[in-house]
Amino acid sequence: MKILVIGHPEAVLGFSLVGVHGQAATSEAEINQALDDALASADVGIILITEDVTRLFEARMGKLQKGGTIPLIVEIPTPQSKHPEQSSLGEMVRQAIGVKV
Amino acid sequence: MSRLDIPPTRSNLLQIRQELQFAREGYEILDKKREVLTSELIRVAHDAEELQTRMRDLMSSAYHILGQARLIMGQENLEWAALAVNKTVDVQIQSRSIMGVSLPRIKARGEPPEMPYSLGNTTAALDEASAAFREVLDNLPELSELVTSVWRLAGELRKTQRRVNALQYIFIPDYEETVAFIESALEEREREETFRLKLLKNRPSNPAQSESA
Repeated sequence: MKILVIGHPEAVLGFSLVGVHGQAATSEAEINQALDDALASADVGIILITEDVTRLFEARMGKLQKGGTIPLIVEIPTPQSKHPEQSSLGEMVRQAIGVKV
Repeated sequence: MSRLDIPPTRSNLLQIRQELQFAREGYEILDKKREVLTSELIRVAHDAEELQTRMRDLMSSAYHILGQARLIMGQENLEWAALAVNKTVDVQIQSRSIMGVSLPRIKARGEPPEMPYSLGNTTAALDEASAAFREVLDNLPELSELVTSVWRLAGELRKTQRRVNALQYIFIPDYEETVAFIESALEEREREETFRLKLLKNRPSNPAQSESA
């Protein structure tokens, strides 16, 4: 199965240098469109989505990450993103266990 | 906490006791599930966070190098070079199950070609950018596996936690209270019954008989 990138044009370009196909998307409609296409294709195993656009559709993102088995949805940083104080991953774990690990 | 609204009869007592027993067993099982999920989550979360941090560094330097390549070659040539790359990593996703949560296990096969674009009109900066993204790509399967595992484990853990709490703090206490209520009601009725019998026994059994005696 293949890996697919959706989101920031810079990430799409970068990954295309190593042969990973991508779909540049910046607006909510574009992302949903790209995501629908990706989900419809049976050959996509991992979808990488850049952090700047995941904020546009958090609800759907959460559902996709927790739900179904394939494809896996993974957030990747953008050129602009800084080290966040607390990643969404750490936050998720903290909520689930009640302590910070 | 509130007692269930059912009449205090012996058959209800038996039924409620049985249900309470069932709820306690369920609680024990869910509690064990919670423990297993928690330990698994802690293990995975640690690795995931570490890898995510490393990935951040890798990617930010990859973007930086890509930016430099763009300065040297120009956006258009960069895109042309990228178009030439067509072979890449193939992933195979399997899943394993922990306590009913399916966690992905990813195997990567193949890798991007060493020298995909022509050397003639590209620069060393592009090679560096390509190498940087290749390193990112190498780490991607593992990152996807870990991050997804954390999401699913955490989601399932929260669900389990809610159920455990519901059983522990609402369901079981309610049932315990109901059992206690029915038991005391039945005992009370029994005492009344005994007392009534005693009263009847002490009373002259037949007024006509006692008169003739």
